[in-house]
Amino acid sequence: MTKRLLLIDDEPAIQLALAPVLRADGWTVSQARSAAEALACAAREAIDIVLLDLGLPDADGKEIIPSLRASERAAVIVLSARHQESEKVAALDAGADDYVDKPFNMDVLRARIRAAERRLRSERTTSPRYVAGSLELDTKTREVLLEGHPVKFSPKEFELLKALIEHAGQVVTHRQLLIAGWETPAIDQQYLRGYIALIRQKLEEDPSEPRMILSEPGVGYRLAV
Amino acid sequence: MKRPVPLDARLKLGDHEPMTNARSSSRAQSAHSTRNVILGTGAAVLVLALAFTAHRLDRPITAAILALFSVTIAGAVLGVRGGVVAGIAASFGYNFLLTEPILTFTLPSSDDLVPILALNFSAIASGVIAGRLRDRAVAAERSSLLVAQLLAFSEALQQAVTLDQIEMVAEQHLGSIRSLQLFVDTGGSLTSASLSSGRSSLAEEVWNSRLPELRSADEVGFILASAERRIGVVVVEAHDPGAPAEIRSFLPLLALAVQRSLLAAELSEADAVRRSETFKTALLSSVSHDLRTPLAAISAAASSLSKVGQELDRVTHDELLRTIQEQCDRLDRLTTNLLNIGRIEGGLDVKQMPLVDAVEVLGSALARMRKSHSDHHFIKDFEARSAIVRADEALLEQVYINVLDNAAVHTDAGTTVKLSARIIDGTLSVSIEDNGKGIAEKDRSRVFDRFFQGQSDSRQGRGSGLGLSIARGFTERIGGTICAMRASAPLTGARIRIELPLAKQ
Repeated sequence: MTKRLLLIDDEPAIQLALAPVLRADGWTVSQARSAAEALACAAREAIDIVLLDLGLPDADGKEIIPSLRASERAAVIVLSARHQESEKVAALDAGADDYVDKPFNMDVLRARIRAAERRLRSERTTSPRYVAGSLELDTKTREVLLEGHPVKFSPKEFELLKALIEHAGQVVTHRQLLIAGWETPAIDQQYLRGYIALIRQKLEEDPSEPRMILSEPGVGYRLAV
Repeated sequence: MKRPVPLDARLKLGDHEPMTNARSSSRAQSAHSTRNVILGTGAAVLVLALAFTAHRLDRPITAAILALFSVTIAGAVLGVRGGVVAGIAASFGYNFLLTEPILTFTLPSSDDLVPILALNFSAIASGVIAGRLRDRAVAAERSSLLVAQLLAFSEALQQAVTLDQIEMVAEQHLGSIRSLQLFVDTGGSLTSASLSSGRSSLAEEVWNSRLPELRSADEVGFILASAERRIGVVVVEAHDPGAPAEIRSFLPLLALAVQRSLLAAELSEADAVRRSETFKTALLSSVSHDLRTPLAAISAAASSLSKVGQELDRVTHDELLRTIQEQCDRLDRLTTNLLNIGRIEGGLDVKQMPLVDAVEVLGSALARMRKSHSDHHFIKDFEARSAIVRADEALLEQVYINVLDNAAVHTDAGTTVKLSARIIDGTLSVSIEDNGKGIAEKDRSRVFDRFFQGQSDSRQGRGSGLGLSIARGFTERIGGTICAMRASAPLTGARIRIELPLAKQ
């Protein structure tokens, strides 16, 4: 099965630098330099992953996220030179799956692409079991294993961890986590922080310097894989 | 500030019946002259009664002198009007009671007429003279009080810098008014000096009418003008008809103060623009240097690889590639810091910031530093498990990263950087200590200045002089403090301490 990736960026240097590496990773890479080109391409081909630069010449990248996702179930990873957290959150709220800040490390970008791929796969298979590193979670038995040993989780902690592991390697926004745990985003983020601290106590070797549940300042949390 | 006695109240002290309420003096003013007449007549009658008694006791000279004396007293106490009234009353009284035939106004024989007329004229003249003396004294007192008042007003205005301060001073110093509003010309339209009071239709009216003053039911509006132009309007609410006159004498002082305040505001604006220009120039020159340095390294490494890449050994090849990556990271840190300067300069409202756990932020900053400075040993001593502060999470992380990065950049590979966090009296105190050469005593306050760069002594080259200044800028913006000192044993280098107030929950 061919894996298709659509790279949308108006900067030729980025296209030039990324395309060969992505092809070497086994992707069939389509390239677009504007929003119009990108939408035409997405309509023509069945795309798995979209790498989207937000600053396009003919439109704000955020605006085309819904149409890109609608064409086929494609995962959208935003490439953003904008370091404003509010911009990232807006793109994620618009339906993006993840973001990578420009300038990015190639290893980081490839890890994000792998995480998005994994997420697409798990959506298709709908398996009740999730594995991320040394962590396993079963949504049916509601069992959590750390290095093979069971760890007890309260229902709310479990829901939050489930939201994180479903998107393992990808950012999950505060809003998404509040909805996962409390079914409404209108909850004080203090509660979320408190629960994340509890989960870290159970999973992290050193909760004050977490390596599994990472903070993305101003945006959300990410479960490292 | 001393609150001066209102002008009216003090002037009344010279009277025998001091006005207790200065505000009611408008009605008192008209009653005043009537009362003078009554009192003048009364006093004259009283002394005349004495004179009549003296006359009865067959002492005509004493009687005449007493009659004259009564008029002088009345004049001295009551002023010119009272004196005149008393003089005339005394003349008639004397004529009626004391001169033959008694109890008629019929003039006596021509022999007696001359002394009696002389006496009567003397009585009126002495009333007038005594009254004028009294009036002069009152006028002198009034004008000296006004001068003192103006002086006090002018002194108080010296202290008033802003327009609303000027308005307050004027309201306090003008005793005979109820309220005062100041409006200034801002490019053709009037703006209230204090934010609390809104618009005034009277102010607009007098401004547009080109008249010096305009009166409505209970307010009077005055134009404030400098030598060259009209600068604003004062609207006062006063029931005392004497108030406008008093205010008119204060207007030039008020206009001067307003003009001075407007000029000062213009100047400080010009100064701010000039300072921001200086800042931009310094920033650009620093930035262009800091951009060129890593760019030069990247360019050199990349062109070496492309020109002679085939002939280089594997180790050199990798070294060049790593240089490119490292310098790119350096450029990235610089641009992030520049963006953050913009955010801090642009003004951040700490009240709008979310509650964040500073210890958690510190942990994630440390995790990032372990990756980017893998050649240093970072050790951690966290007494505090959690510390909730009000801050922008990304900027707070930047503060810790900048200080940690500063410690790593200025110390040799393989040395230790220690990070400690504890809570003391509602304050989170984070210290970052290193084993470098430390910061010279004289530089300890300057290290946080923009573009300050210490002696370059490490292989990583100099920093941009921005990291610590951003750390201070943001720390202070959220109510914290940052300072440099000597590291505590066993470390021998520098210690940077960042203290943040915990949020009240």
